[in-house]
Amino acid sequence: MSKKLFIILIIVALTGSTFFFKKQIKNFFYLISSPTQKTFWRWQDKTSDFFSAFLKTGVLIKENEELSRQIQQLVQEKVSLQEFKKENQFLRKALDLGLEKDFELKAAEVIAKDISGNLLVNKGQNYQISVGMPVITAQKVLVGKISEVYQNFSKVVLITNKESSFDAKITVKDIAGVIRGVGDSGLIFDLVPQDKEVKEGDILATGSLSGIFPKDLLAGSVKTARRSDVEPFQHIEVIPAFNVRELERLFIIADF
Amino acid sequence: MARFFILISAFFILYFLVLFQTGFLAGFNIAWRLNLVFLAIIIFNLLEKTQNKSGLILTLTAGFFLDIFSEKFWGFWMLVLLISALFIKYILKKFIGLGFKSSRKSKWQTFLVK
Repeated sequence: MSKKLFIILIIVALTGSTFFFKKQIKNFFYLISSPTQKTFWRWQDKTSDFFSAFLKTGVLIKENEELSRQIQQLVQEKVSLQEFKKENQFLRKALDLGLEKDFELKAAEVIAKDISGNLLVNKGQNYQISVGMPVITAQKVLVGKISEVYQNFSKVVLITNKESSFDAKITVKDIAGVIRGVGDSGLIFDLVPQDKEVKEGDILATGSLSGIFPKDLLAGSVKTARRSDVEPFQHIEVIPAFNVRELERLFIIADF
Repeated sequence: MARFFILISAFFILYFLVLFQTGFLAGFNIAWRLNLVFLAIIIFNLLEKTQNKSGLILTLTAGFFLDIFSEKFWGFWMLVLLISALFIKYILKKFIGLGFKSSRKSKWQTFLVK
């Protein structure tokens, strides 16, 4: 009995001692696993695309038509905006205003998604990454922010995480509110008064009030907007602008 | 000796399952909710003889691997899996007539444990 107790105590002591080195242990295992995990991550993207092609043919055709129509609309808008851009640059020069600086970006690759739903990327303390840095895609779509940093890796908490919230606005209508994550790739646009007109398809971007993220980063689009006489705010569901399965290369904003 | 090699192989299989779950299955909304490692540990402890302890060592190792790839506090999965494994062993001991008596050991049990 005493021998058994001794063995149990040794096991408990060894397990407890790993607590003090958990960051180093995690970093070591991420380092040795990253080639395998990266390969699995690429495979799952291809596999889900393969099955989607069979299951969603009708939906894809419809989506393709809708996207073609939107592209045409955007091309027209772009042409008219070019003129405004020229005028804007001329006026800034005339008034001697500084142009907004670009972000300082650090490229990173997605290695895996952990059991809690956070992404693991291959940049860490060795690249001066720190907690709180925003993470975006190449198209300036907001993905999340750095939640934990190891020597060679970092964890990214997605904006769809239940603990994530930040100020945002519907760009063309200037309607401000707060985006909250609800888990399972879902977002809610909260604190929007009942009298504001919100429609399906409205684009949401980050605001500048909270300072958590740089402003005007694309966050998502409105899926449904429901008004109620008994509640002070509308219930607005938002589709995130990114698809977590297709995330391979991300950018960490080191300075904004 | 054979049992030692089987245990080592089981460690590597568990590690592979964790990588598979966080790398491949993570992208699928429904599939990744399945904790393959948890399932593997339950199955192993169900098949193992109640007086053997190698299942518990495997359980602790599996919990350790899950803790590495989890955001929960360190030791969470080790604790959860250990409690589950001990519970399974307790139930099997108490209700040993449910098919795990030594006289009705399956071929798998005979191969895996002494």
